Amino acid sequence: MNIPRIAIALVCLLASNLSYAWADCKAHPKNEWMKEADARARLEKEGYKIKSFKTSGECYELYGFDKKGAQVEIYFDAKTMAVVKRAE
Amino acid sequence: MRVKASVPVWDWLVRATHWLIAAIVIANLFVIDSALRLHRWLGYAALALMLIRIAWGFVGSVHARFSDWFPTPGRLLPYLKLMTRGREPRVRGHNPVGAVMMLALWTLLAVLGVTGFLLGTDRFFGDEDLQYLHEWLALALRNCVLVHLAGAVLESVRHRENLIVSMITGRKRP
Repeated sequence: MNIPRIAIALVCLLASNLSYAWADCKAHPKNEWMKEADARARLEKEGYKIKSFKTSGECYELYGFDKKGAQVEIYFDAKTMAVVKRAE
Repeated sequence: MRVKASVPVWDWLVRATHWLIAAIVIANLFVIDSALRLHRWLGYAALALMLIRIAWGFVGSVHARFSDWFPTPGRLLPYLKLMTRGREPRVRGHNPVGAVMMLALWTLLAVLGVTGFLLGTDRFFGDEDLQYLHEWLALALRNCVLVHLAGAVLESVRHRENLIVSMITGRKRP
């Protein structure tokens, strides 16, 4: 094991991007997206308490609480509001 | 190849905590989706390892102890002065500049741990400002790790000893 080889490997790793939470949502044209207010209303009707609701890439992203009060972080398809990913 | 005499420098706990924390930092920064529960538990594990290492700084082997390496001005300033001339002495344990980096890394880890914990509480869950701070700290940690590594390579070249291998075997030349 020599120093340069170890160091180069580590630098390559360390210089890469941080891993962020994300979901692979299908891209829809913006005019097909469900209106944010409608999306919010739908979530509230389904029993979610919204802490934060925002656009995240091609998804809508919810931070909030379910009916039982448990924390949920959910990514939704922006057009259909189908659940794409639930963070666990 | 000539046989080199070597002496033990880094005890088992220093090495174990160093590499376990390094592995967790790499996993949490680059590999694991930060929304996963695993991210949170690894973060707490890193904090626990750091606290064990800090406690070891009072009771561990010679070069693990704060008393051996804490970068007091009396240690740091002369070393820095020599360093600017490229003539810093070899230090068997932690050199004072490396020690400053250790304290910086520990501080970042601690604040990352606290902000990470808070992001898991109902009060701060999904809080964008705190998420931003946590991310900023993560980037700062990444950059400090790069500098830490550069320092290890630099001192390895200057003093013709492989410090990375030393942190694995725990041994250095006398």
